[in-house]
Amino acid sequence: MIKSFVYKHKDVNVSTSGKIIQGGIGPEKELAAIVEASDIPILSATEELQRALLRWVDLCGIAGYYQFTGMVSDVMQSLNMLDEQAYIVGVVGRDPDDWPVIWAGDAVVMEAGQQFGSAIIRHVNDARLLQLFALEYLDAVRYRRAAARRFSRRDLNASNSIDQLIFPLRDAGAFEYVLVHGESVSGDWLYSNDHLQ
Amino acid sequence: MIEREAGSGDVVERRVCALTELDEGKDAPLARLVRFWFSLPRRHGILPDIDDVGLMELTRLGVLGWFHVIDVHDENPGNFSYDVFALRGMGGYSGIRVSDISSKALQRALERDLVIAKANKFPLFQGVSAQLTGKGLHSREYRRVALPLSSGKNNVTHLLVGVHFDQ
Repeated sequence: MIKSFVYKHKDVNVSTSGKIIQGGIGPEKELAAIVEASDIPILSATEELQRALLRWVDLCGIAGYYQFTGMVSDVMQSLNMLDEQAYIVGVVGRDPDDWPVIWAGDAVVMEAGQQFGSAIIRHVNDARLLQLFALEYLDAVRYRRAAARRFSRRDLNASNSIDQLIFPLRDAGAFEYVLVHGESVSGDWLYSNDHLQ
Repeated sequence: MIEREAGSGDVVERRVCALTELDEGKDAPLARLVRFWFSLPRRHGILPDIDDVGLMELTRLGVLGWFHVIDVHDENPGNFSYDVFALRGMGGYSGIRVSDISSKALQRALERDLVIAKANKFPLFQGVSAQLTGKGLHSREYRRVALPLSSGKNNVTHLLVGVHFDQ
């Protein structure tokens, strides 16, 4: 299933139905940008992502969450589920502005302690994309299932996309988190190679 | 009919089976994979498109780690190459060509089977028995289904190959 938003300028024509809205008149139509989340095409799924997903499936299956006791980052570290392109976000309520970034790898352009919503807006500057991330993360914890998603944004000038694996976690106090592994596909969203230089 | 390839102590036997022989209990992942193939959209004729095959869907089908994606563009089957090699598989890696496989018997059997699967434009279900001597003798029995896919036209360019081993 594809979840997508198409919008012109700011808050026009928003849809989560999976259908793309092509409305609008005049010159605004030419500015339409498409933001969507879809399954990761198998030919472009890297072996690293596949191995991470396989490790998760072996750990707790595709349906279900990983329940743990202790510090989430320590537990994930002990399971070798963290790497430089991973981050952990606490999913507290529905507003991503309230979600703390608990842990972030060196290649992620967010830092532990930041608020997820504002950090995303700072780096991708697109509220629809933030909504799409939030929907997928909420679905992962609500339905207790892992997801593999390609997030894309296309307009006349640029095409950016990233692949993410989203794993739901829950601690003994019933606080929920998502562990996210990601990779850039095109453009320079969220993940940076600066740390390698 | 059983087809047999042998050489240097290796023996590979295969039997083409009707899809109706696919045991939903014994080979549930393969059965799900075949149903998935039939359910895919057909935009260019009778073949689904490789771009409509997603990582998450294959994971939900329970075949993650147990499928290959083989590029069969080339006329020469020796040049067919594994775009994705099954993560739980042995003796190969993504990027390997069929002609790189060390067992000549296995290589010949694969070349023949993949050519048939490519030409059929329809799922090819086989029972396979392989006795290979490389790195010590080992024997494996498994079922395999090869599902043809296109890349924007109605030619078979890729095969999605699911395998399911006996425990």
